[in-house]
Amino acid sequence: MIEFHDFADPEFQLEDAVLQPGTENLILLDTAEQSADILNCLAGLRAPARGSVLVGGRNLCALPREQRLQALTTVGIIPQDGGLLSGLPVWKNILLPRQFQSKDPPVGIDEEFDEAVRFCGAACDPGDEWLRLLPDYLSQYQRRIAAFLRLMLSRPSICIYENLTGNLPGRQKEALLALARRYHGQQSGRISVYLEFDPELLAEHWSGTLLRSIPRGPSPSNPKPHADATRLRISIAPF
Amino acid sequence: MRLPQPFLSLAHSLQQPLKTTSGGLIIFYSALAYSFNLRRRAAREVLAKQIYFTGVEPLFNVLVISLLVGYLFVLLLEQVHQVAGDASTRLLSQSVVMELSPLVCGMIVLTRSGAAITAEIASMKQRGEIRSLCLMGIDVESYLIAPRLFGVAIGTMLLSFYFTIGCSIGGLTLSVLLSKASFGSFFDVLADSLKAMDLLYPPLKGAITGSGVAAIACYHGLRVPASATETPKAVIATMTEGMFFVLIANTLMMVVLH
Repeated sequence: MIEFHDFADPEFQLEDAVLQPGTENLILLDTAEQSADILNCLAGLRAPARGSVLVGGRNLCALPREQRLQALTTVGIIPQDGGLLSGLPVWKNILLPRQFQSKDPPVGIDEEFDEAVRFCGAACDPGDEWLRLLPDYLSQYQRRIAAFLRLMLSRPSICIYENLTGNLPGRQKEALLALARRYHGQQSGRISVYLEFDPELLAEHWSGTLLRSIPRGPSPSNPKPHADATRLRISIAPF
Repeated sequence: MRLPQPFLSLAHSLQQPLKTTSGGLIIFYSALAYSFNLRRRAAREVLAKQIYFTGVEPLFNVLVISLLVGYLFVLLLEQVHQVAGDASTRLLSQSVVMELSPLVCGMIVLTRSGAAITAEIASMKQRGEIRSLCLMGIDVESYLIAPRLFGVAIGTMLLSFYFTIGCSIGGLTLSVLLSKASFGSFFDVLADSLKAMDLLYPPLKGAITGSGVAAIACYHGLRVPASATETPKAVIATMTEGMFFVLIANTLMMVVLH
């Protein structure tokens, strides 16, 4: 479960919301910076300017470092553009989180990897040539597929996608979104959160829960954060 | 009360070195604190790569440089200062092998690994890869800092060892050629002038110098701002401050350990 309580950053805010297990949730934002801000708060890298975000009932930002890092291993995150490390070949990028967690080669990782590639099916490039390349030689779409494989290997109960479909042409956008939604349905109780600033996605594809960012309004402690601030409502309803 | 201008200028010019010293010490402490994570497979791979790049890849270059240094040192002593035979061999062991090798190796490591580490970490930061690591639950200290610091320290120890061997061979070979004495007799003099503990001295100095260079390089890489034009500035800062560090650390160790 993910909970937003009185969440606000300097430029925007979200109304209180609880993202229940098994739901797909789209948080529609105005800019890439806003999606990065929310993701940083969700991952506990920093606290919001006001309010709190609870992931699995815990405020990650308030946790001691080791516990926060441990908690993040159950959360699969695909940052903007995949977030692959440019110095590692694609296959090492995919295995990195699992390899970091263990002393020895993770047991059964090869089978899991093959299974993940099979799951992606036609979305994945055939053959393994592309896995040996450095990420800079891949297209934006391939990079996100690699990041998706990496996410699958960490077997998360919460998936967070930051601008998953941004800057992709129509068919690739649809294929990637379909993949993420199929993966969501693979395990009951999984929470998927899409942080997007592309309204097209909403118009064309969305049918889950929707949250919208709104310009930051007054709070009891700070009645006038911005001269032009107006408090807007967010809707939490199936589209 | 306002301090006189020279004091203010001095304080201003000391600001950055003090910042780097404190930043480097924090990095050094973090690497030590998270060294237990080197048992993790991904961190071990980074450590092995760093040892290879710092301590194995430059093997040929370092051997050539060390042979030339040993050769030139003995040539200088015998041709210019008229010091020959056993005396030049003793001077070779006490000054070049013991003192010069960690210093030269520190400079080699600074120009190769120091610059590379700063540029790599700065580029990772600017491309959002550091953030990406944090989002995956991988802490930067365990994956980036500790393996680099320990890798450079071990690599510099190896380089000091090669340098010591190369210098000795270069110097002794020239001594043998100039004096027509046997290689064995010069080798005996070299072995007599070095105690068992002395053999640990260059690698120990190398390790301290190497870890300091890595800490400075990581510090400048991590504090680079978002703009790509800042990377060359960070590399220059690593070079200049690293050079001061190598010189000061080696001088201090020479004073303290002797």
